[in-house]
Amino acid sequence: MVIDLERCMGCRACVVACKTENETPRGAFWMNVFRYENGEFPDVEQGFQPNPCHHCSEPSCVDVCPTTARFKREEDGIVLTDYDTCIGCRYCEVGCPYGVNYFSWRQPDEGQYGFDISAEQEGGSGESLADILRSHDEDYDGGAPWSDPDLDVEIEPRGTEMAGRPETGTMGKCTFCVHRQDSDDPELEDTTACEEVCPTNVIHFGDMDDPDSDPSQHLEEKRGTNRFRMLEGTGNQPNVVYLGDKPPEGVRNMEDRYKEPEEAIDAEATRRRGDWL
Amino acid sequence: MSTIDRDRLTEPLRTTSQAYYVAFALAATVSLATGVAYFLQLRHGFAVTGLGDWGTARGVPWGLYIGTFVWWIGIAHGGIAISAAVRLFDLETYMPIARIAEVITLIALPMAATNILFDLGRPDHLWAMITNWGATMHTSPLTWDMTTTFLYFVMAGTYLAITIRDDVRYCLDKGMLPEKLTPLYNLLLWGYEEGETVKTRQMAWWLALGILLLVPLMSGGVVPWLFATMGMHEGWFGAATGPAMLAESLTSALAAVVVTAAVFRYAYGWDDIIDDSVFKGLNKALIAFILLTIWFLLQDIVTGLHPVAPTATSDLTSSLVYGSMAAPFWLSMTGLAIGLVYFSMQALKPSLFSVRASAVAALLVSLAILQKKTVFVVEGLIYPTQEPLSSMFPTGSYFPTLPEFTMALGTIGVAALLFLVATKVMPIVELQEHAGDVDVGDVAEAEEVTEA
Amino acid sequence: MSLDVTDKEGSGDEATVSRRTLLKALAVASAGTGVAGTQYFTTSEAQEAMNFTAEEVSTACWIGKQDCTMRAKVVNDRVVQLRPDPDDEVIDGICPKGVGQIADLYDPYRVKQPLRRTNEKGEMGEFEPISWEEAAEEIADDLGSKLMDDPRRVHFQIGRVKGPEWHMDGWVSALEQVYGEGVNVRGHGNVCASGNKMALSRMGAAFTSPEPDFHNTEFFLNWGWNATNAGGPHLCNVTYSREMAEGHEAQMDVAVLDPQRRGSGKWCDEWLPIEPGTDLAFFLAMNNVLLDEGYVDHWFLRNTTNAPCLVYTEGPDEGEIARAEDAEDPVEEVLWTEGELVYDEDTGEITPHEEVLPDDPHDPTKTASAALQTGERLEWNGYEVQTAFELFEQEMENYTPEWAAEVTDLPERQIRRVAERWGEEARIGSTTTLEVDGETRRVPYRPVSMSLYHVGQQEMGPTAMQAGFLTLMLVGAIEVPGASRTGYANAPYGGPRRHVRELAFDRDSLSWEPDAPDLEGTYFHPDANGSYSKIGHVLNNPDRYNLPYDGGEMACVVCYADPVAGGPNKRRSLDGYSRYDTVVAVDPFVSDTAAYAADYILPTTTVDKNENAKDGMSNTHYTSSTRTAPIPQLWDCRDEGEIFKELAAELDAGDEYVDVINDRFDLEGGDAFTSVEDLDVAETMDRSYGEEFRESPESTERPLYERYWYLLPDSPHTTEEHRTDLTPYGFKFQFYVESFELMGENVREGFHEEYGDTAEDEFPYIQDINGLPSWREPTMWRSPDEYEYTLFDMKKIEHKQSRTAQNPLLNELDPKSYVRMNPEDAEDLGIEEGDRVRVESHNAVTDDSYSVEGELMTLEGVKPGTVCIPYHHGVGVAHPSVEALDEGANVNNLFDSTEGYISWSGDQAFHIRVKVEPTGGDAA
Ligand SMILES: Nc1nc2c(c(=O)[nH]1)N[C@H]1C(S)=C(S)[C@@H](COP(=O)(O)OP(=O)(O)OC[C@H]3O[C@@H](n4cnc5c(=O)[nH]c(N)nc54)[C@H](O)[C@@H]3O)O[C@H]1N2
Ligand SMILES: Nc1nc2c(c(=O)[nH]1)N[C@H]1C(S)=C(S)[C@@H](COP(=O)(O)OP(=O)(O)OC[C@H]3O[C@@H](n4cnc5c(=O)[nH]c(N)nc54)[C@H](O)[C@@H]3O)O[C@H]1N2
Ligand code: SF4
Ligand code: SF4
Ligand code: SF4
Ligand code: SF4
Ligand code: SF4
Ligand SMILES: [Mo]
Repeated sequence: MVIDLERCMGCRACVVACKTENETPRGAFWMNVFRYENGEFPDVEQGFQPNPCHHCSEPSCVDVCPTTARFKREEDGIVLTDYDTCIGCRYCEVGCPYGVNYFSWRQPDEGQYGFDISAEQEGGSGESLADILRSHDEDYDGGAPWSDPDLDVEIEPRGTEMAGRPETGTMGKCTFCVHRQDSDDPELEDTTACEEVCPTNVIHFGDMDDPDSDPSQHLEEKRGTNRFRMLEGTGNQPNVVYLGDKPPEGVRNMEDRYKEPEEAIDAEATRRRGDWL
Repeated sequence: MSTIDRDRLTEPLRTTSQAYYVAFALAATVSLATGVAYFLQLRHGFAVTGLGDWGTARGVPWGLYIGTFVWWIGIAHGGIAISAAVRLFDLETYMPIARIAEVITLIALPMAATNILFDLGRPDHLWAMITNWGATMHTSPLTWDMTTTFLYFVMAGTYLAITIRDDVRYCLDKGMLPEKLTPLYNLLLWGYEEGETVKTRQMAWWLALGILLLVPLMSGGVVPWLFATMGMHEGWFGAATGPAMLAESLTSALAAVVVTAAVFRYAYGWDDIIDDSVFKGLNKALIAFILLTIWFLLQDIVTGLHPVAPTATSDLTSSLVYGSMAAPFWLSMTGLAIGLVYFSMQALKPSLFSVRASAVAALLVSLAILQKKTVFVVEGLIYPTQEPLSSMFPTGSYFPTLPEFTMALGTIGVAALLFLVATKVMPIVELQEHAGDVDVGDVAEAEEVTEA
Repeated sequence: MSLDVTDKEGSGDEATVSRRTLLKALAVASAGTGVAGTQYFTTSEAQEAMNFTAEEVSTACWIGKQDCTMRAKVVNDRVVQLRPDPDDEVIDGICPKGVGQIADLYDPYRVKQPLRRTNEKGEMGEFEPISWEEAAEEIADDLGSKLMDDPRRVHFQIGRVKGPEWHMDGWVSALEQVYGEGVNVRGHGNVCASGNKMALSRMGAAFTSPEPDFHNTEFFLNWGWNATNAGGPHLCNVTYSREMAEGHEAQMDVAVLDPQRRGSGKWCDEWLPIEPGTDLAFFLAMNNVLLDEGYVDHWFLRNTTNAPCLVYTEGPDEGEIARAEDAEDPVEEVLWTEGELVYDEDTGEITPHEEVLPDDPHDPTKTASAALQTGERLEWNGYEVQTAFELFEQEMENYTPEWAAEVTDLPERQIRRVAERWGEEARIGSTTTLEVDGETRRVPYRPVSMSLYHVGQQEMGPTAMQAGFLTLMLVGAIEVPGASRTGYANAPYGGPRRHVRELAFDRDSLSWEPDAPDLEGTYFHPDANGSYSKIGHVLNNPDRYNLPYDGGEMACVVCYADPVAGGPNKRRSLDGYSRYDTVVAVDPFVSDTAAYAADYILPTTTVDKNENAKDGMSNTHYTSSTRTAPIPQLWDCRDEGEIFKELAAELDAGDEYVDVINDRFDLEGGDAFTSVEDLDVAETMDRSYGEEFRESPESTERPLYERYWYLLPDSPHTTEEHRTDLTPYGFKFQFYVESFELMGENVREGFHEEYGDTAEDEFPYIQDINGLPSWREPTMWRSPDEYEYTLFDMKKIEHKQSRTAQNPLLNELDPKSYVRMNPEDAEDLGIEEGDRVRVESHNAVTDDSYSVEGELMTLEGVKPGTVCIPYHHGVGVAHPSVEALDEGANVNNLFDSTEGYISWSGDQAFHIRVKVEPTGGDAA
């Protein structure tokens, strides 16, 4: 993946696209975009840096995994989590220097748009949307309406679930949209949701070894531009190449005080409900 | 010592005081609470904990459970080390606490494992680790940890088993042991021969040697490795982490022994069996280890506060010293300091010595180390990773929730409960019949003989 | 309440089937994820192969103003994802709001059927559900009797709509055909950006704002254009930002004039952190330097503007342009009024402007001999005349960079440097060639440009735009390659100009008796555009503004708008709207207006809407598309097209409505609808656009001659009546706005008669209606010194005004409104990031003050001495999630909309003086 920082405006559309593509719960940003400031008034620089999983060639997260749930797929180098094997020890999260792992503290549905939080569970006063659906049709037993069955596919080489929303107690992170890579839809293959949504064409995904691929072409086009990888010193050999200036040390992050996910989910669960709504 | 009546030593096996019931009820209640909390966590998931993801979520994925795990591991390693030292160097005075230390180890290890279990959530998760052992053994520190913990348990178990056979034989014969468990005792005594003591002593001596050699490697090695493989997290990296951890482990283990020994002495009036000199000696050792612990800490703080320290290091250090982590950090420092001051004072001015005060001070020290361990785990995750990423991520925060406190600290209650049970199924102080008969020279000789 | 999928007419059975499959599919899809609570012990089984059909439906964004086309991925009648449509050449992607609106589609707190109020207005609403029939009947009864009496008793408030407004226009037009003219229709312009358009459209010709030719501009002055967060003229940020990125990568330097740095993101080479509300002073100084250094494009000014025209400086016609005896009527001929006199420097004669123009108006090397400076005293009809340019020179003389530095708080050096750069980079006199339809054309090349939009909402916004447009005109950087386009309308239209000229030349055209609370056409606001935020204030004071009716006698339909949230001051708007006898809110959610002021809420659709999208247009492409409901409409919600059809029918204006729709969509013969019962929105779209639009949008390249007005005569879209051949642009630019000058005099005279000497104190804005821009201090500066900061605001990329407040995905990205300040100011106040603060504003005229509380965010990228609180939060408060999530302070509680805080055109100023103090709480 090539990420062209000269064009990123920090809009975070990629962040949301990743969330709806992969149905991750509140607080999980498999794609995260830093917004930062540097310097003092009036000489202030601002920068934006998307930070997905770097799908390292020497992934420390794989090394520390006690179960082989986290592994690197040999054929294309995508680092995946086998949800069926993962025991939720969070070692990979601790062992990754990039801060891109998100543990499923809850069932994904619950954290999505406050969908499946029931009154009984959180001491809330109302039914959840899921309850409303359930009371409407007794055959219906859960699941968000936006839930995409394409995520339930079995992913090779193990034939287990590794795409999209991880279950409670397992670890999630960017999969390079593995379900797209493995699909037989040519419109989806070699694309990622974050790349597709980006309005300014910052993200270029594809086979970096193939000189004709989109990222290789883009690198070629911007030959003269500075390029770097994050935290090269850790020996992880990350596979995300950035174009543009490296964020200097000691920058200040800005506009990224997200609400504490649990607090938000609780709030959404216990929200007041007008009888007339 | 040999003059001491075996009957008095087996008193716990024969009589049950009111205090015992109270203690038992207390420990059982705490254990029950722990179970309930665990169930709650199973039911509602990790949402009931204060844990979160580091990075954008400003959380901390490892917290009190891992801190408590590290603490128990430390105690376990220290416990067996103390017992081994007693046997290896034939520190006769301390013989009465040798088995206490062993039992502490045997209880501490499962308590450590329990905390890992709490942290993993589902019990069946452990199984996945076992089935993948082969594939992950060469890289995963958690697998190493699991392996060494298991190894330790086996060693400590064997160690206890071979040193206890004599006593069990004796008690069994006297009918002091619970009848229901007789098959178990028989199993333990399988192949027991009268007079095997010399041989078992020799075996124990070698085992002790092995254990003592392993302790620094494990306590000062594996656990810090657990963190050091993730050296990009500020605070978890550094050449001194190993020795520092070892010092902390021994401190907390010594403290745990002091507390337990004091409780026994008080409960059974064993003032003459576990006499003052035992405590005075342990206290002295504690002085040394607390000093060592503090010294390592100072090392970190001084470098961290130095103006040329990397941003992340200085952020972390200043947060410990006067920032968001200052409260837990100084609380634990205070605990250590109080212990240190008391132990030093009683060493200088013997009139200040009392077993009760020693126990209280030791308890404080032990809890301070628990606090310190947790702070250690958390600090690396509050200020994770390296520049420039560390500046771009917000600083994390963590405060354990009630279920977490209940479960993590609850393991102390469970340990107490197990200890209380242990006193009913085995003589908790070696009956010492032949204490005087075997000396180190003999063992060495005997060894030679066997070898030949 | 239950989820009810409305069956589409005529397809009841199918819809039922598909609903069942929907629920089945839900069940299967969710089997793997388990049911909350018990999942802890369940491990996911390998899933059985699932049967589901996924299809893609082309639809359009329902949130933002550019109507991005999107593809809805639909699985068994469920939208599972929204993605940008790859066939749309205007966009390469969409913003977070586009993706995130899937959550609005399924929002459990959407209004699901018509609601009727059960409690008092003015407080948080309680409602009861009623049927559509009941609602339509009751509303028609109410409105019908008012309309019958006087159509002025019925108002229609539109906000920032999506797509063309045919349904609402059609309804109003049908009503007026039946009940007579007079329904007061109000737009959102006066809170949005008409501040700048008021000037621009009178100086140029289209009601719009400048847009740069990013692909050729070399120096771009970003004037308070919040490019990375918002949008600007007619698009959202996505297209502009891409073009800006491309330009910046290729050739362009960017100077940013804005009190905050964030809006220009990476693309900022020089930051000019200006004191809010002083932009006028900045541009006056720009002009001063350009004149001083001789950066003047004679070709542009002499050939295409009225800069050389002679203006009376004395006598009864002072301020008017001197005209020949046989000159055309300036009210009739607005594009180029023939007979306006200039001084011919070749002959030394005073002659009509058009007579000294070169033969070929398109030859950029031939300059008219109309003098900009005459160098002598001229008279006409016995009174002194001077060229407009000379008057301008005199006016600009005192506005030196030194002076402006004091006012704007920008370094003098910087103002001068930027002005000089502007003049230099404009390359006055240079030309380039363009290939247009196989023909090579030589055209002027002016690679400097500017852009602005909502920043024009300042107390002196229109005047600042006037000065800024002059900065463009001086170097001729208008409608040629590299320059600013002064509008997206391809055909200049004389309408707005004619309107002000009528007011200017007919001294009796203004009255003190308004027809409606927008006060349009009165002395109060002779030339306005809805007075969105002032409505509340006027309704609260009907006597002060001589309203023909009290609120209690009037009704208002509010559609696509949330004036209580969006129009400051929130308290005033809330009180004002609650005074209406009847308010009908057409809204998918319980907006603040609905919650506090509505008697009825009619639930409309969201992504599940059928409507034609607005045609998109970038620098290079056009796109047209329809907004197709990708799934059957949820609950009992209806499209606007259906709602207004229903209301029109109930008010006996059904046939008229049908006629308007047929007309709007060019439906003739068999395609035309014959009765209101037949009319169907989806069907209208299909008949008009063709069903293929449901599959994919259509993009076409924008021909060069439609990208630069300079080439406009070649456009097949322009007709003779749209333009004059005397200039390539088709009309004469008003360097000197004669109509403002005259209208301003009328207004001031009227006010002095009515209010005496205090008129200027009470209505400061009447000083600002002038032919040439001049400076005065903003009214807010009269506030006591303790209000030491200037509050301004901005939009955020994650939100769209008030309409995204309830969206949990967007709330997740941007959960709270923060009070943004420079760390230096925070330190002075002894507060730091995360502290809770109280912000109190002060109205210097009324002495009212208002306060909100919020959490502090410190940014070096905010000018010291200012406070910035983004909009979007603390609104939609009736939505349970909004309430529960506690999004924080709403900045519209702080701004005010009384005189002193609005411009002469009735435009809201989003500036006020405030003080900040810690509340003592630490919310970190
Ligand atoms: N402080 C501050 N105030 C501002 C601004 C600012 O930057 N700062 N911006 C100003 C600007 S530029 C503008 S344009 C105005 C906008 O002002 P408005 O146009 O009033 O915009 P919103 O506040 O978004 O309110 C729109 C209402 O329409 C409803 N709605 C959404 N979709 C539909 C639909 O499909 N049909 C119908 N009938 N209703 C729908 C929404 O639920 C919401 O209640 O706000 C202005 N107010
Ligand atoms: N994400 C998002 N996009 C939107 C919208 C939205 O609500 N959300 N709304 C759409 C609409 S309706 C509109 S009108 C456009 C508006 O698009 P813009 O005009 O680009 O956006 P705003 O944020 O309204 O612009 C206000 C800018 O002016 C600056 N500013 C404030 N006061 C002053 C001043 O006195 N002088 C100068 N020089 N600068 C000042 C602010 O810091 C801010 O950068 O955006 C459109 N796009
Ligand atoms: S969508 Fe593109 S421009 Fe927006 S934050 Fe992501 S990478 Fe940057
Ligand atoms: S970025 Fe982190 S999670 Fe991703 S492969 Fe590298 S180490 Fe693993
Ligand atoms: S959380 Fe799962 S993937 Fe990560 S290290 Fe533990 S078992 Fe492996
Ligand atoms: S590649 Fe896919 S999974 Fe990874 S960040 Fe982008 S959208 Fe998310
Ligand atoms: S840019 Fe505007 S129109 Fe496009 S998706 Fe975003 S909000 Fe919608
Ligand atoms: Mo707007």
